[in-house]
Amino acid sequence: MSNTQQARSAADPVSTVPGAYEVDGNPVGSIRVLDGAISTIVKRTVLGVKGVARLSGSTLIDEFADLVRSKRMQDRSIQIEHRGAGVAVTIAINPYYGFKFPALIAEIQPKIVDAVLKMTGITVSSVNVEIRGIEELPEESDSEQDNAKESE
Amino acid sequence: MAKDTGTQPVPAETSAYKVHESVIISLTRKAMNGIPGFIRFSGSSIVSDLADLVGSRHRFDKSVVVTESGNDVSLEILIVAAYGSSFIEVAAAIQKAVYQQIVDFTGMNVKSIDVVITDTEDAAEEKSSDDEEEVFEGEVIQ
Repeated sequence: MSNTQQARSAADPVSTVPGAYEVDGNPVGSIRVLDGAISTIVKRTVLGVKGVARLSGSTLIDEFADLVRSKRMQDRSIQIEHRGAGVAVTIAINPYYGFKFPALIAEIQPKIVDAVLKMTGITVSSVNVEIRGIEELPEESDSEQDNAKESE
Repeated sequence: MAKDTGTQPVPAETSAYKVHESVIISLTRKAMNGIPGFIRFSGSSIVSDLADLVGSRHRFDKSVVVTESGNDVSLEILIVAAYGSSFIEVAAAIQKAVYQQIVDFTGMNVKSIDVVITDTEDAAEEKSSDDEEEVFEGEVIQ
């Protein structure tokens, strides 16, 4: 199994970032960030934006993936492409009905750029957003039920 | 019966010593303990929990790769960093702590310490506070 982990670190797409600890002016090693870590930052940032229901894909599969700590769902919905020293991010999301897409995307893009830069030091050159579906707001159905009860 | 040779110089070839890989892994683990932003070593947490139960250190073998050559040692450390932290600061702190620990305790020449951040997640404390915030937000909405 130890070879598996070694193989992962060698095979997975990775970004090398500056800032390693130095001894006598020389860095003692490298600092590398796997794409999986960038994907997690992107995922959490996107899901923190009001109006985003979830990453695109099957909810059932998503929940099961969370249970087994699998990143398959995340990997399908978030793509990291290396461009020079930076990365380009493509995400597929399902927003809630009622939120205007241009405003939503305009909020998502800088948040991803800021979060990735702040945590990893990696520059995000572009953020492409695909809207693959749309979801009903759960709060809306609750308020509708409340309104219905009040009218009764 | 050999007599006491305490005053005689020890031959150079007998003064060499070897530090086993598992010792370097243990030193690495101890040096990293408590570093802000370091959550855990990479690998399945379920497997890690089981390893804890049976007192196994095998999981560290997967996440700390040691390469020794004579008196030189190189390490590759795979970690999960805290979400929201600066990975560069976390990695540099790990490199500093591990470098000093190994040099101090073994006298070996540390050639390189590569830190690989494989993922990011909340610290346990942050998770509980996040949960509280979510509940609070829910109360406000209602």
